[in-house]
Amino acid sequence: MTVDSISSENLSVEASSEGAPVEQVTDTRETQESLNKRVPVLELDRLSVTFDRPILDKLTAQMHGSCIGLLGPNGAGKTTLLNTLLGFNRKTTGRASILGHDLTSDNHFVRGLVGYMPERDSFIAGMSGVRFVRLMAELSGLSSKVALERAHEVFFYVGLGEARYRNIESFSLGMKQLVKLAQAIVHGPKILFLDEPTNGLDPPARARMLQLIREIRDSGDTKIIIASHLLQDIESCCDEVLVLKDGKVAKYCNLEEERRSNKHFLLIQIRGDEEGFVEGLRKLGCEVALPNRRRIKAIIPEGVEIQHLYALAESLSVQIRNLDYKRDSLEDIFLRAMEED
Amino acid sequence: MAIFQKAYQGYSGPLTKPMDRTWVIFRYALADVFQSRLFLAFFAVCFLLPILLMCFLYLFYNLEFLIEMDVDLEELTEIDGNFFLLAMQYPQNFMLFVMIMAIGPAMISPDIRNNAMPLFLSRPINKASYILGKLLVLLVLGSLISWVPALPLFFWQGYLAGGGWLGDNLHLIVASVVTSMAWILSLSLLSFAVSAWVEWKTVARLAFFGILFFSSIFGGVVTEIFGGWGGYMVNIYAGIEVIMRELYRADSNLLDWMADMQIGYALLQFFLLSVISLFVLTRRIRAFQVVS
Repeated sequence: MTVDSISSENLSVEASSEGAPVEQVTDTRETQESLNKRVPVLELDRLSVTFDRPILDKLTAQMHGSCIGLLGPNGAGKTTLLNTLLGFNRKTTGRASILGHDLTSDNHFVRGLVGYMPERDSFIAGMSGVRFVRLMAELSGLSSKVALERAHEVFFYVGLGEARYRNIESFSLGMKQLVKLAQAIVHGPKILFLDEPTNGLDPPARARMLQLIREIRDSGDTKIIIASHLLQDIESCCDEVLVLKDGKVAKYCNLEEERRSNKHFLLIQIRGDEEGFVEGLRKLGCEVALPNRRRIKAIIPEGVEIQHLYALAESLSVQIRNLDYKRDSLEDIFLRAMEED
Repeated sequence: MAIFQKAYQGYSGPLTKPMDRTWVIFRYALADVFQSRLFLAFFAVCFLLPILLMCFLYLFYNLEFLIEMDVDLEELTEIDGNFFLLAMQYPQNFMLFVMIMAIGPAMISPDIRNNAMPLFLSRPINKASYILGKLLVLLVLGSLISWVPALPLFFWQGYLAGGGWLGDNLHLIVASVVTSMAWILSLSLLSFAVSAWVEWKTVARLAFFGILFFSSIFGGVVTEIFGGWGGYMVNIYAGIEVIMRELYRADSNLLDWMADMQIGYALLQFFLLSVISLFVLTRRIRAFQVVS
């Protein structure tokens, strides 16, 4: 086990992950091997981008998740970071790598691994959906025949099979979002960049989009990086989150670990001998806090079960009125990160 | 069963060579051009002139026909560079202009307007491949209606004239190829640059026509006032006229109105026009807009 440091200029957060030597990969098969060896999906090393003002300021991070969220308020630098990773922007200083490939020296190769769903409407006028997606597949390197086959398949996969011969300009906003996803995954990319994928979608379409993202994530074939300002979207799909604020890393959060570590975090409401109950909890080995009257926060150690609490309450003639598993939501984490200077 | 009907799967099959991606852009752009029946009709019409000239040459060398038509053989004009310049190259240049005005602006501007550039440039192709793919469409179609049909015409004339005519006039083949390609290239790049700048294809067409039209008027005014070659440098068509006249070795009195400019300046004009157009293109074709 190694410790990877996630930090911006004045912030340092630690995250545990398995480390492995990075190997130069030259073809798709080797890339798969590298993935298996836990090469970082995304590695930023003091990455800065400046236009007329600094947009990204010395970002440093190393992330291994299968779905990585870039979270932040509007103007935080999420899209700029995506654009830089895609090679659209030139970095000012620092370095970045994707799946172990340096963006500067292996730019062309990296773009062969990438699928990209932009935030804004993006299509080619006057084309049917399937022809558009086929063109995108061919541009990614698929042969004409395979591209046509996969274009049809991906249209069915995203749920637009019946509309695939319609002109894209006639599609609704939700359909256009799905077509953007289709063109991004048609060539089976190793890493998928999604920029605000649920923008403008109604609730059912949004749920469908998030479901598709989770399915792609769970396939294990494709790593995903999502930029969004919607906390629920990130929370429902991602296992690692990088919160950006004013072009800096405000917080790194491994949601998967958070979920695991907070499994025994309880919020308890009682009536009766509070002091005695708290003392009893401490004797059981629990960490206890009293955030307000008649509410007790307790972190329960391994080996202590809920029935032990009920037994304690019975022995002290205390009523347990409410007992709830509780953990910090992403919203809590995000809001704290925004408040921190 | 289709793989995506069951679950999402990645792709690990073979990939095409990087150069093939340029051909993909070319192939799709070419197919888009021929979706218009109007363009198809125009394209067919462009072949009428070479066919008519072939018939003319056949009749020109048909002594029986000429005698029957009571044509004075002494008055017949000579078939040389002047003839091919006036009868073939000039009309072809006009057709090329119409063709490029029709399809050139429609090739780039819709992609930029509909924000398609991030989709292209996030894939393993670059701006140069994209521009080259689109440019190849105009180069191929332009060639097909200009110097390609001119070649059989020269050989037909050489065959009919006999007596080493072809050997004496081989420079006409070079003149036709070079002049046509230079005209196609400069107009194509200009149309791409204008359409990349304007982003609306109808407006881009008007702007493209306006640039050529007003550059010739402005160049004429400058020449009238100040004299010399400065005005011709502004007039985009003057440059190609000079290149044509030099390469065809044309000296007919009918060409006296042509620009009086050295070929070096004409080549410089062609070079500058191409460089400026490419500069604008590379500035405008990008994956995202920077908002200050």
